[in-house]
Amino acid sequence: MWYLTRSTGIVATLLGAAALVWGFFFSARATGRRLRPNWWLDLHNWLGGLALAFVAVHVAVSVLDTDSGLRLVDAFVPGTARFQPWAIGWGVLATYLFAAAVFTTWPRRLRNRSLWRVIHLGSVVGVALSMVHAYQSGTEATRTWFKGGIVAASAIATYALGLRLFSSLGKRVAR
Amino acid sequence: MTDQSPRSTYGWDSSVAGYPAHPPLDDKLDTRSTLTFDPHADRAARLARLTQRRAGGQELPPPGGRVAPRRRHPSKRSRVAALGLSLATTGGLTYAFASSADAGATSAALPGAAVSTADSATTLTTTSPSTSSSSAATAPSTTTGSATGRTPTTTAPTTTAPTTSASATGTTTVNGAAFTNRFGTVQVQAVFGADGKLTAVNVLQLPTDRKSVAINNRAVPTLNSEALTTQSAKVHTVSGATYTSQDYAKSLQSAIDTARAKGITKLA
Repeated sequence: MWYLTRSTGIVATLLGAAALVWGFFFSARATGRRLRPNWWLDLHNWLGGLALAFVAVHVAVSVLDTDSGLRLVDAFVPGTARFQPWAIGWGVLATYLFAAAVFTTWPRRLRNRSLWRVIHLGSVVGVALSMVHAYQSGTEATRTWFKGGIVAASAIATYALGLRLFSSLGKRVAR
Repeated sequence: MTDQSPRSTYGWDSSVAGYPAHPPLDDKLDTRSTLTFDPHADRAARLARLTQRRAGGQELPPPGGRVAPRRRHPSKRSRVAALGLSLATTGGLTYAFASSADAGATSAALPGAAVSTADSATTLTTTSPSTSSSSAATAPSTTTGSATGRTPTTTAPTTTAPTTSASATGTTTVNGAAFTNRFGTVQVQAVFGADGKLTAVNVLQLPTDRKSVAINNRAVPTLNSEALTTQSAKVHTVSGATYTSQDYAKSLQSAIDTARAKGITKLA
């Protein structure tokens, strides 16, 4: 079960980063000509939900693994784990931010657009926290491929974020 | 008629005729004709469809109303691909972790002679993987070559024969057998005084992955203290360090048994 915990955690982090990148590309209207924007949005929604599903499996397996030392309360209350409390805590917070972003969009989007936007952008913080959690408490954290993966995912996400920010800045200047 | 409402969430210009004030982006509407950023093409397509329906005698949507659309997933294939890729990656990583653990376990069995070259005063500190090489005196493949040193082992415990050495000060060190569990190898060294009492317990090998290091940094001092207090290997399991505690006790017991067999101590 420990191996499953590690693998689902890695895949969940990658899916969260992918959903983030897809969302930024869509909202920056940098979708290109070949694929329609509704394809980007649909896939962004799906990747976000899939990331949350893998996070749920990761948490469930961690709690069920008796050797992990993780209690049920540790998985829901950040900072209460008996060892590495905040390494686990960042992951708990990231889960809540993901869940808020997903469930305020599906099955029905929040009516208050401003509030929806703030909650949805909280998923960006969630992805960052999930990477911190992976680095601090992950078993593979000192391995080269793991570090390289985190750096690559962060770089791509930062690029997508920059694209989004510059596109909105460009529109404001054009007004 | 232009719509002067403010931009929607996605920053689209909603002033183009034919577009609603806030383009619907949820799944309530048919997304075939929306979100192309070409309002004229979409309008033309919509008019063409209405004409076809009229010509085919189909019921037209009520004026000003919206037809309940069929839910569509434009990226259905990509969704399936993403799901398949995620599951395959999860399965592949799980298999890779399990395989590397097994590979570590099969190479973790070492002859006892290699163990005895350890310095009798060695105390293992494993705050980082690189320092685990200090235990390389025993050189198990799970701890040397630190790139792979973090892999745990999952096979049945493998043991190595304990060794004994005596010093000029009258103390005798006895290396216990090494026991391997799913997280790594645990081996301790018992130091007996001239009177046969247990004077120190040094840890020669411990698992080196980060989680185990954190756990063992907390557990080992407690186990050492209790062993010296009770003068035996009957130590309580430290919470959260079950495997370490069990293998520590077994390794220490093997050292005590060897010392007793050689007449060094009378401890049980």
